[in-house]
Amino acid sequence: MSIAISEQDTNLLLTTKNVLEDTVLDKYQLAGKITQTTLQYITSLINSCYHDNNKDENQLFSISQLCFLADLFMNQLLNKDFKGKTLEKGIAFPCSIDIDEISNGWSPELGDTTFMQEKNRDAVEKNLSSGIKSSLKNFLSVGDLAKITLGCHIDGYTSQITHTLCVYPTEVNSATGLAQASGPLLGAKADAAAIAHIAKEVVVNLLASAASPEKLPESLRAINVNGEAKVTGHLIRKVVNHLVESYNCALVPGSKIRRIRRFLAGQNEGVVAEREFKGCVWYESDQETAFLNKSHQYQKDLNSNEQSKALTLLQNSENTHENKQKSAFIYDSAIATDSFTVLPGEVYLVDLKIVSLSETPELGLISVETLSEFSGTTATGRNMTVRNSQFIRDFTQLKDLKLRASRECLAKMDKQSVYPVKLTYLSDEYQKLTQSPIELNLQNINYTEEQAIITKENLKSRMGMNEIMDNFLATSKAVQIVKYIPWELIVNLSNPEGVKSIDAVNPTLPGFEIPLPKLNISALKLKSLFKHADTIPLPVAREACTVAITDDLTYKLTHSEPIYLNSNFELNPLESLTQGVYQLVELAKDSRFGIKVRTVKPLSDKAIRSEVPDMTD
Amino acid sequence: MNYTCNACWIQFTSTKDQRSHMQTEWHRYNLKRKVADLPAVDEKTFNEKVTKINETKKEVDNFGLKTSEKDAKLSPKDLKKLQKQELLKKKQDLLELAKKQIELKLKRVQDDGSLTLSPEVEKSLADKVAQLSQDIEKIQFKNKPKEPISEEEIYRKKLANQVQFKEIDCLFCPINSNKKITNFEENLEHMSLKHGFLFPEETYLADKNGLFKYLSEKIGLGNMCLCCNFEGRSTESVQQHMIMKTHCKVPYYTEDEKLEISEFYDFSEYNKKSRFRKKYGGESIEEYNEEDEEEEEEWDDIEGDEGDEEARGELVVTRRVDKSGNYYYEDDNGIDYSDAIFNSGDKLYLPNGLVLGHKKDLQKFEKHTKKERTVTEGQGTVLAAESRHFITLIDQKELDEKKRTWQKEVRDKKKHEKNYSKNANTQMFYRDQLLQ
Repeated sequence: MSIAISEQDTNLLLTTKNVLEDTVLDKYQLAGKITQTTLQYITSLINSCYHDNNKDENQLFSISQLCFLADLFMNQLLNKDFKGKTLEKGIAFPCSIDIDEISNGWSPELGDTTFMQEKNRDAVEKNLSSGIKSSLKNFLSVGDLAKITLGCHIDGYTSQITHTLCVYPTEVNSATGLAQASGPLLGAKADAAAIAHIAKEVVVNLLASAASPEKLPESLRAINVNGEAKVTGHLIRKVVNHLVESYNCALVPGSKIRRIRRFLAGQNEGVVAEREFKGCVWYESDQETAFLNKSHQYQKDLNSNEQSKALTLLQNSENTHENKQKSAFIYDSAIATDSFTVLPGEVYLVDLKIVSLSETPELGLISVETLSEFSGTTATGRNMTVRNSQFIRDFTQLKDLKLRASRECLAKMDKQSVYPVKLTYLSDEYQKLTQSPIELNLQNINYTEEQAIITKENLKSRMGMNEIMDNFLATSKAVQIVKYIPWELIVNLSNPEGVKSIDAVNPTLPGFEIPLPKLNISALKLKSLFKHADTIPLPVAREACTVAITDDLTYKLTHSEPIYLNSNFELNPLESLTQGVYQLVELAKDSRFGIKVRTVKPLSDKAIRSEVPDMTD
Repeated sequence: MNYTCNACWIQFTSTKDQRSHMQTEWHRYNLKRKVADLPAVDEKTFNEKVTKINETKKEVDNFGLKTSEKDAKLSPKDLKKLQKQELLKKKQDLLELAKKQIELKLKRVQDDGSLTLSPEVEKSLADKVAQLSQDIEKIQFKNKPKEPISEEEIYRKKLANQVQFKEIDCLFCPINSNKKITNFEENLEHMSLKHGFLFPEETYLADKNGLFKYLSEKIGLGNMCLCCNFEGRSTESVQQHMIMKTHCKVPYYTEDEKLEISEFYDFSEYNKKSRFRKKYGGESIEEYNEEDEEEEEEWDDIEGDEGDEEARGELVVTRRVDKSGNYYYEDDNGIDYSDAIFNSGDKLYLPNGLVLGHKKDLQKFEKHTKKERTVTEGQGTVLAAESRHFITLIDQKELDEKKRTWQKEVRDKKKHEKNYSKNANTQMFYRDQLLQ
């Protein structure tokens, strides 16, 4: 049986409900407030145990516990009686804590650690990279770059935040008697974290200037075709690339700046081919283009009339790639291009993942490797086996399930919204907990009994989930790590089958299934390279926020303060793009004439405590 | 006599009189009153009113001569306008200045890449900005409106002015004016005869005194009209309003209006009757007990709440015989279903709307109860945005049928809306809200 949505309903759901009216804006703002409050909460949780020398190993919260507590806190906040009826509300992005080279998806269930430690018994300790080590230990360690991702939705209006934190070694300040970091973060991690923050802020300002494009600085305007005063995808890409390059960094494939709509906040990427996609995305093919542009031979071939054999081959493969794109999708609007214009009345998600290239020996490709339950079974001992914890329902698939447990699990999943769920959310005990009042005193947090019950209930759901996944009724959100592959390895690779093979497991946006179309390398070929000894996992910094642009004011729904770090790089003020960026920042500072950006504040302490919070502040 | 004036409620002996009357100011005044739904005034009252207004006008004129000419020209409205213009101009200046400042800074960035201005320029600009913003604040402070009275204060005032109605007081006549009425019934009769006031659906009115008390409080304490949203300054003004506009009635048409006074009514009798009439055309309640012959029967819920999976298929009612030989119905939890209103042989109709089917028909019902999948808004949005295609999934025939259903749904909805708006318009005449 098919499910089709009538044209009127489609119009209503995709257009009418996305008009940025006051009520909608209020819901976005509330979602932003709750997201930020939860970020504050988890930050204070981490500070209270990992930045306190007096605590020993037993008193620390593990990563899975931190995820659990953050989710619980957010659910408890959402359950409060906020004014205005909402149909659906809930967690949009389960709290995940990704350490160093893990770029997304690390949100272990309470009982998962023992399973994963058991599975990874064969891994050679000294071969493992730092992020994997900490993640397997289930505790943060000093020097870790921890990226916290959170998100919630009110009636489908979603806000997301990702913030990069660092675990510092601490010392006691003689003046105040409080523990403080003994020094700033330095080196490659600092470079990446610094430019991630800067780029995020600049992009927010750039998006905000879409409401009054006439104020766009001259040097930025010049990037557009005919010097038009509007914010285009092309301009955004140029600015971000410039900023990242000047810090000797690179964008990780999967970074994006995209428009989000009601219930379509990027949670379904790779599963659903969303029509009318608007946004900039960075994939391996961008790095490939940049790399080829550096090659003298390639440039010479392009300019000469006599086509060389290599170029013909390249162009052929390019053509087949384009044909493939066209044949695969009727709706071209599902494929992301840079030729869009940012308009007021839209909401954007800025999600940037950045790695520093200062530790790489030569030119190379930055790519992401997907970890799965089978990825660790190689002889090298460098990989990790993981267990996916976030599941997303694919509503287009229908099937009658055989097991009672899986039917129950599916029914519970359907009751949750269209966002990823963890097994914990399906547990009855957890639902009971979310109704209980919030425990604000961090010393008193103790859910030992409840955690044991939830772990037991998860076992049952896990069994059901296996059948659901086998029938493709749901897919899991992948855990990915960022790896550097030298170009030399790739160029020497032969791919006689051509680019026809597609890695169906990897969640990419439509049109980007083939990572290196010009070099004729398919996803599966690239995957085989990850095992090579010359690849290096790189620590990644990630910053994300949501921005709602209205005609007169731009609301920055989620906001985070930069961390304590020191980078050796700085922007070169003599370049025209840098000047444009400086001018943009200057405009954003001015409250009267410049670009108006309002940062949505987190909920006050009073509001968190009260049953029916007053939203007027 | 055939010659009348409907506006002034008078009669004439000849057309000439009528024509000359139509030209008088008095007639014009009454015409305006008629449009505003107000009763006519007689000539004497009209003349009194005219003289009163003339006197006050004279006083104002005399007073006006003493004041200076300049103030007379500028009405308060004009003054406000001027102030507003001044404020706007100041604000514009400020914006200009800010623009200039930022442009200077931007230029500086372009010249040598530094982000600060020279201290003198910055200081002078900042001074100007401060001066301008101070001016603006001053003007705004002057223009600040008086603080509105708090809700509590209004309530306290109202409580102080409350008028208590006794059961023998007419709701619409000035209080204590009618001494003849001695009891509640007489009072009701007076109100229905004199003012045309009747309680809606009086047959099902359970608490007449309560409703009367509620209405009297609405008038005495709230100073509200029973019929429209008019709120008078005092009880007398509301009473005047209701008599003048013939608003001496309780509206009972929309859901809200019904709910407002629903606590005084008891419709259980009516509901019982109507449901029974609808289903069995007037069969009596006792009938079902005598028909059954089997000693133990089991009944399953078939038309239960569809969303609730647990309830469906699990409600089992068993018929048992108690000590005195009477039948009674009971489910597994011991809840009594003896008050089931009808047993049609293979179905048991319960008073709460559930219909129980016999267990022997279980298979038949199960086939039909397969739920259609309901899609929430979130799922719908994701599905609507989906642009992958699934060749096997779309069944053209089914889709066509669905499309037809959707079209019909939309048509029906439009039709319903049209019918509703047609029927809901019960107002006899158009009344302009501004002229009340």
